[in-house]
Amino acid sequence: MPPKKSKHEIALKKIKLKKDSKMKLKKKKTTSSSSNAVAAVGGSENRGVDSEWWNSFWEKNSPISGSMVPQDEEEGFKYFFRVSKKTFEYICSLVREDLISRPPSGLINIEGRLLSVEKQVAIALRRLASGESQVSVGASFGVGQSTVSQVTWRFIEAMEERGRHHLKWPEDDNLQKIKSEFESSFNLPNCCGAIDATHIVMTLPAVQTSDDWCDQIRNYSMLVQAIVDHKSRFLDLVTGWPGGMTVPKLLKFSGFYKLCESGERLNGNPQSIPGGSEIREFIVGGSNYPLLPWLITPYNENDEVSGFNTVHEAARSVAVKAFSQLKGSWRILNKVMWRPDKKKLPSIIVVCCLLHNIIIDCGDYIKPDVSLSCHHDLGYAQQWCKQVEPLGRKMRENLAIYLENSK
Amino acid sequence: MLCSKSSKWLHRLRSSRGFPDSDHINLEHFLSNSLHKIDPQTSTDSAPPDKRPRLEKRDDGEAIQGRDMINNALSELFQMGEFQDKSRIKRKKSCRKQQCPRICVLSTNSDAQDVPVQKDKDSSPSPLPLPLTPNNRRKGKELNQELKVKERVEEEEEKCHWDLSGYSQTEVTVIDTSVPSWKFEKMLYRRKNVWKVGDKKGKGLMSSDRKKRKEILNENGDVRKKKLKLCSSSSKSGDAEEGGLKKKKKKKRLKACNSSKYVENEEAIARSKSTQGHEHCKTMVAAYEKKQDNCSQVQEKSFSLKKQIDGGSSVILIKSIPPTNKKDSSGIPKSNVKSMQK
Repeated sequence: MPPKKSKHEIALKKIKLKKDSKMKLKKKKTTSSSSNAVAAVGGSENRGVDSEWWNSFWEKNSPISGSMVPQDEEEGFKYFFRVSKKTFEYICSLVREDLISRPPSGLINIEGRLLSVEKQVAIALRRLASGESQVSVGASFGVGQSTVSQVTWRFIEAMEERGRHHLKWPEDDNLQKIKSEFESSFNLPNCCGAIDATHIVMTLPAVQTSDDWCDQIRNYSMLVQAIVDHKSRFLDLVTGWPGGMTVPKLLKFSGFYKLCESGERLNGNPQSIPGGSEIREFIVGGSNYPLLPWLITPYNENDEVSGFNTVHEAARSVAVKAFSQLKGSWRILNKVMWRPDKKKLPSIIVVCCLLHNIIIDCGDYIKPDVSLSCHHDLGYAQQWCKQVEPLGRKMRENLAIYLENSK
Repeated sequence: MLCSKSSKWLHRLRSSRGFPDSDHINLEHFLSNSLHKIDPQTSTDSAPPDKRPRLEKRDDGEAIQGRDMINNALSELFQMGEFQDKSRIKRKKSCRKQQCPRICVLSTNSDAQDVPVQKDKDSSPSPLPLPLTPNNRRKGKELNQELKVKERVEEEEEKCHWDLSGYSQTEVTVIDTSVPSWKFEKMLYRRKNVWKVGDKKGKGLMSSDRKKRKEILNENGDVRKKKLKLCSSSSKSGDAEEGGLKKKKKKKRLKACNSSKYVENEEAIARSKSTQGHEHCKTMVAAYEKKQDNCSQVQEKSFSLKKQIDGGSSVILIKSIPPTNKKDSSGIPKSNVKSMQK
């Protein structure tokens, strides 16, 4: 045993000597080449907030005459990343643990420096917000395309995990607030939200692609269905189902539908209205949805009770607005995605929705000019759903009468 | 060379399967003549599991018996699967004819194909010596269902499996926030306007993948350490290795504490979040500021520990760092940390 140990010791000494010499060399290199900026970045990678990235980004992408970029720096920040600096910091805090670069596996930029969490979040947000190619997003940050790809996906994974609490069905107190807001705004008692669906269009390889993804207007697409509150904040989301599916089917396959049908959701106390009838908790949806006791759709044009459809449409518009804001803010969802991984696309969509909610939750706002100027599902005609449940019909009649009487 | 090698394994094979043991028989000879030479009685006696399938196959003649036997022997030899379960091979054959050809388009569907076989395997220990026709397989499944209370979705899925002959199949990854797990994979069956959903064949759901990835993400450093451990064990003395391990364990503990704190904080945030907007956002921001402090403290600790490890460890640590990282990982951060700690 002892001789072995001595051999080891010798080996270790040799290694240590080598190491020491290398360390010295490195120290020399760092002292000669490292600038203050490097030191700042190096420090920020491990603690504190890195703001260096923004200075260089703003320098690179500062407004020039004729460009859309606002002159004000704060506005400029919002223009590029859709969020204020404060919200940005909060997002960074959510994902810091997952994104923090730990050598040697940490992501690096072209100069070989570790990417700070802030820069990673900025890259990912820019990619989602602009929908520009990974190459051009990378160029604006001084990183390569593969870095943008990696960083964005890491961010999405982290957000999907860490940001879940920003997208969930509200607890009783919150639901009560939502209901009262709907009642005060639209005169709809016990209304808990509005439902709508949209298509995320993509290209898929011609070979080996199932027709299921091909929708009614011959686009390949993925469906997103959301229920939103009066602030156009997402309360429930389903995505991943192929665009070839009809909206009623999409609803039927959703967890929300199952919960409602089993009486586990929208099961609050019914509200009595003058005339002795009761209104149970419900949501409003477009004519492409079935008329159910808990999902109220508009009247057919021929049968309309005066004024009901107008009120109904106003309430439903919060969902339309939400999708317009979503697709406008996170343009990656509004562009035709080029052969996305259909397993990853739902995560991208969900994270965009989470970011949408975070903006609202943080008291931030979405700039009006960011929203889509057109309908979020342009080109897709709403197909009238003929499915009508008698209880749903009765509910709608009661609501119509209530609206008529309360005029 | 080949002959000498083959004779060994052939000998082993013959003895295990109860074939006549003769040195004169090589593989080719065996393959070409075994059908005539092998006495079926002896072979069936030596391999009891063969009985059941043989009863079915008796009418097909000796040639098929021999072929089956060879198939089994080869499957055993080349690890094609469990040779003893002869029925497996037959079942596999019956499964080969897919109800919908689309399933084999994607490489991922290979899992989907395998799993029914696996399922059959699970059901095979049932005492019923059922011939493996689809009808009986279904009966077997129904029996299993009686024993085990399964979810309705699974029942639907099983029905789908057998009734969806003309349906196209598409794998979908769905995120549904009304489902506790959020993310799940399903198999979507479609025939014109009829859509049906079944569980995806195979267990490879995202959750497990994500867990693995999460582990990797959380233990970024630790993964590297494992590699280092291997390297160091080959180069360092036992004492140094033990010391290193202790330090690593400490570091792991620190990290675990950190992450658990983080999770608690997250939960607290989640709870507070559920109540309301702006003000809660402020509290969240405050919470994460605290969290940041904790983070930085623990990081500093781990950094100092790392420094110790670095000090005592070999050059291999540096070698393991990619050349592009060398500046940051070895030189700069240390100096920066030192300056910051001051």
